[in-house]
Amino acid sequence: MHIPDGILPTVVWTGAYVASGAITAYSLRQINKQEDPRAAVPKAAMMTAAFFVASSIFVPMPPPMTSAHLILAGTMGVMLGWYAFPAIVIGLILQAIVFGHGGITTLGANALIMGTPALIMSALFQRLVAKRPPDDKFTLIVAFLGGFAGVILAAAIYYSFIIGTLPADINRAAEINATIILCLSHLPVAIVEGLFTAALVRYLRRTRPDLIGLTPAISPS
Amino acid sequence: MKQNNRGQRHLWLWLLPLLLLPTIAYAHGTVITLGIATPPTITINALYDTGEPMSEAQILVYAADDPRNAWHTGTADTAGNYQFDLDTNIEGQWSIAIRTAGHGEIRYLYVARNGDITLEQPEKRPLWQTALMATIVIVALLGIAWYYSSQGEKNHAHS
Repeated sequence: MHIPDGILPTVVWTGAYVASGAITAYSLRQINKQEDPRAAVPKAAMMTAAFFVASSIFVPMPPPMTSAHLILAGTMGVMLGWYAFPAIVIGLILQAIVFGHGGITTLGANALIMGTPALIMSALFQRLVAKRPPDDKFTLIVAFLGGFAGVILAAAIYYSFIIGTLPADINRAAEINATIILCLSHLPVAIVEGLFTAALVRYLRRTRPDLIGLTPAISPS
Repeated sequence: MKQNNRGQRHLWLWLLPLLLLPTIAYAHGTVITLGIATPPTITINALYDTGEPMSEAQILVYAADDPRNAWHTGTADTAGNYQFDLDTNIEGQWSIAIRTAGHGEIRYLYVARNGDITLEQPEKRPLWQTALMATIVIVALLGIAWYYSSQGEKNHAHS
């Protein structure tokens, strides 16, 4: 789900840099407005480490699908809120330098592919769950959908970038077919990430609900 | 407060198994091997870095005198293999794009005035070096988490 260097035309990757730069700046501004912007740094650093490693854990698929790797876009959003986009940008820079996974010119595009779903899932999670009681099963369903839809949305944005910028000389039908197969290969990944996110939220709402923006449970006395 | 700190620490336990998984494969990076069979025949072997072939990858060859329009196009076989004949009369840097589903690489070769072909072979970083760099990154990020976490606990203790 990472676009390497040399795939996107200059005008597209430049535009993606501008857009992702603007979103990063806006996210940092929102973080600075918080009462204690440093409070979530440990969580953001841990999640960035997890995101960094996730792209190197691949899930084999039967042919004609290709293997897919973990993405954690939705999980990052549910866990980090406004911290998610800057954390994903840092994770992508590290992945490009250390693993050669993704590219330097395509960093902005990759940030949009993985960071946008994270922000959307974060907003949905907070909007749908924040005021509900922490023991509500609905919270877990939303958490699952957050992890699941994060991957699906990332695949959709990836598809748009690739198919919307195909060079004139390429066999268009073959490339569309290959990209659809690649995106479908991420369906099991979406289920795994949905389950992981739900399990993580289930645990945190009992121990540290504030870490995921939930109100602590009032114990009956 | 104790329970809260326990919750933060337990988040480490959730993410630790992920961090400890060996980074043995970097899904969907590519390993492209160019070769010269009998000049001017160029051979291409295209694999993902998981070892899977880039089955039916598209090959776009751009000649040195026209880098905008493909001079030759083709499709690799299911094992990711392809070959084509260069026109050694066109001197200069040729580029070959190998891609499928948005993954791939652009590789270069040079045709000299006398028709000699030189392939550009990018240096591959050894696996141990990548593993070491990844470990340093993970330790640094966890170090940041630990530092800010302990600062937060100190502030709570003072207030």
